[in-house]
Amino acid sequence: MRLKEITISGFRGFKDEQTLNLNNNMILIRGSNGSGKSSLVEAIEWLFFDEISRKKKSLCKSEYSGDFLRNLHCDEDELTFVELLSEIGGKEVRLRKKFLSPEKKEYYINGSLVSDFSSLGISFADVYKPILSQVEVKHYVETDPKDRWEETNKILGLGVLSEFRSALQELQNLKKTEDEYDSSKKIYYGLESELEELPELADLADAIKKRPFSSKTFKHKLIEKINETYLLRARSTNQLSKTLEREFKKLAQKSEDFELITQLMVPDNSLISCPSKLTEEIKKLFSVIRQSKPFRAELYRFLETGKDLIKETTCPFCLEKTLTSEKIKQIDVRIKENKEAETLLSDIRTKLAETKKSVEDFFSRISFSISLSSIEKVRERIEKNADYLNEITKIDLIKEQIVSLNKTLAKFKTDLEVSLELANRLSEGIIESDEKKTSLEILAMEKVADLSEKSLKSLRDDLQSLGSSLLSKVSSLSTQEKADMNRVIIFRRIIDHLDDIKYVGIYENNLNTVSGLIEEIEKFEKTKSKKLLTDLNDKIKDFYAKLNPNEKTQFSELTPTSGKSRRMQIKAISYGKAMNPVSCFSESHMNCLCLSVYFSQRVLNNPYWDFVVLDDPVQSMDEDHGKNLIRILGEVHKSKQVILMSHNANFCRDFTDLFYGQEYLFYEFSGYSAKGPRIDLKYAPFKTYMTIARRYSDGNLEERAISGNNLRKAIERLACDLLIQNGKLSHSKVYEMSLDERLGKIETRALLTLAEIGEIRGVLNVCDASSHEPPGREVTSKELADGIATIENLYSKRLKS
Amino acid sequence: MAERELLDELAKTLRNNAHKEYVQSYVTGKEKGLSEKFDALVRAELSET
Repeated sequence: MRLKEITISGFRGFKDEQTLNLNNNMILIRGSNGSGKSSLVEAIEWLFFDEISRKKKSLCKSEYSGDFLRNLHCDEDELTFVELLSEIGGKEVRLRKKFLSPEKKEYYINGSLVSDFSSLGISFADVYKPILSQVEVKHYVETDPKDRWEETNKILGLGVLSEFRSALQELQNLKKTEDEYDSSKKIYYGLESELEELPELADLADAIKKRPFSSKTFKHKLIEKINETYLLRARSTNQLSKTLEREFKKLAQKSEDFELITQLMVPDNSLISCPSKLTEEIKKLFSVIRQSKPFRAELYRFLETGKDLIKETTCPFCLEKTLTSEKIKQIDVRIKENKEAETLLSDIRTKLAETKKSVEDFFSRISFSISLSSIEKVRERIEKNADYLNEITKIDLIKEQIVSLNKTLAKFKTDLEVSLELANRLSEGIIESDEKKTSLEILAMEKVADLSEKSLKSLRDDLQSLGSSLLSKVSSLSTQEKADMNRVIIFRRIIDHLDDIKYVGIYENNLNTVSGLIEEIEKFEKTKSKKLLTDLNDKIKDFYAKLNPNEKTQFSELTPTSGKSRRMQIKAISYGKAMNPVSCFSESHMNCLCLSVYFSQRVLNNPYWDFVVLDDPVQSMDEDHGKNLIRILGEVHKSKQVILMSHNANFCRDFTDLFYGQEYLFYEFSGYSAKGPRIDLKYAPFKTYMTIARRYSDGNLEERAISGNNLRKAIERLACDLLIQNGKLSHSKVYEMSLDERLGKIETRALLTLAEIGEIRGVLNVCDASSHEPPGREVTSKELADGIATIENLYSKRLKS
Repeated sequence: MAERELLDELAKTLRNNAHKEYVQSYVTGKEKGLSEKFDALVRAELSET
């Protein structure tokens, strides 16, 4: 793709609509700082890549928010857009992108609205971006080797791998700290360390630690171990639970103290999950009630009995049956509907009754399970013994927990009762179904249920830990009995927490998979970048050498550090000795190196774009380096369109010297105002001036002045070209002459006839008259069009042939 | 090299199938897809065992 013309309006530094002809393979744009050069670069960047490097590389991205792309002085109704006339495969394509809001843009190809520019068949990947921004040619060398690694991979087109890797790292960190996983993790690792302390359960400890974790193997090992310990042949954990319960009680009877401990009945798993189960049941009940149709008993009975009675009756006046078959059908449908409603209602009533019973059942079991009195009994017994100080504190905390749990449960009970009553009244048809009200009711109930479950779980864990510590201090038990008891307790806890173990095991397996993938990506990145770097290094070396010919210090290679770390080193060689450019290169050499790196990939290795935009590449380069760059660009522009920006007047002067006699466009951005930059076309080929003159010849007074001005410049070029090409005069001589002198020389050398020179003078009068300063007369479009035709005719007659 | 081609090449070099699934979910859903994939794999395995 080549660029032919760009129009910018309301974008960044451009307020008023401005058009720049870009139809040349070499375009130089000179402008002081803040004159709007970068806005032009950003317009091209935004058009194709939707973002601008300045924001992408910024350390304070958040400050680039809202409408920062829109010109500050634009009124609300003024448009922000960039339009580009381009050439793709020899065909002209007009692209337009309109900014509506930071999130909304409109894309047009040749006037038709499209979703994006993907149909152009060009890669919009960063690696081929044909734009080198100021920030990019500045910071590559003097940056952290880690960041340089990332940046190099982006240059090589491996940016997507880094993005993927960081996304995985973020996921890994996020998952490691997830709340839901956290509580299960505590239990899991608690059990793991307890198992490690019991040598006879070493194989269970191994199974819980194994990665990848297999919950099947673990469960199998657990069942095997319990069977082996108690000489059983049970197959399920349920059966084993019962045995363990019996074993626990048997051991408890061996000591009075111990019996007391066992009275701290630990609420079992089924009880803990009750609140959410009950809530779920009521939720289902509500949804059934909401879907049911009202059952109207009286209507139903009336229809049932009435239908048969009047079915055969005929009207005494018209002698026709009063109930037609159609009406009977309708009555039957009504009867059927009511019958279904009746069945559903009775179902609902049964379910309501069942739920009520489950609620009662839960509360009676729970009040038995967590009785405050048994806790107090234990406390009384150990109160006077200093050995139990720790346990007394624990008991007091548990007491507080029970009191607060009882309060939560009481609230839960009320909620359940209110909901059940609501369900009852709804099903009876006493109140209308109000979806909002019922869902609010359910939401409140769910919250309390969740809270109850959490408190129940933590109470169970605390009671278990209290039980274990009391157990270790019971003096009336032998060591063996204590060990037996410990084993029973840990077995019971593992069975209670099998779900947590399974969850954590699988969760960690997945975390391992993620970190495994990160490692694989890193390996892949290293091999891939090493391969691509070989080629890139050669290109950088070559480019750098062209920028610094005859110098004994040269770039040698970019190379990843060995080992696992991801860092990119730059190596150079100076008089045969290896050196580090970061610490030894001058600013100018660093600038050259940064430019070499980006240029080598995006320009010399770019099959997608036929143009390149260089935004102020000669930041700290000295004059010689600048000249060398111009020479390189002189080669590049033969196969690629080059748009070069610079604020450096010396560099631009060197450019015009070195490009002397060649075709290029030279714009100057000057006198920046709130309307945007003032753009002057300082130097262009004859054709470009004529295109611009023609473009504005039909416009308003101001535009016609632009047309006249460019027509005059075209005449100047015509005279130069005639003298150089046909008159064989040197460039330098011709450029020093004024237009009058040139025309005189043309006359004396008879390069044009007197009549032709007369025609030129006539057109010049039109051009001068169109000028604003001093106010000229109003030149018509026709006068301009005629002038353009005359000059074009002369050019093609005298020069093209 | 296009991003997609590069990720395809990465997927080909991976021996672990779960790794390939992550590459797939990255291609289809970018960052959002990864977290969902993680949860889906955990859920699937939980219901399996």
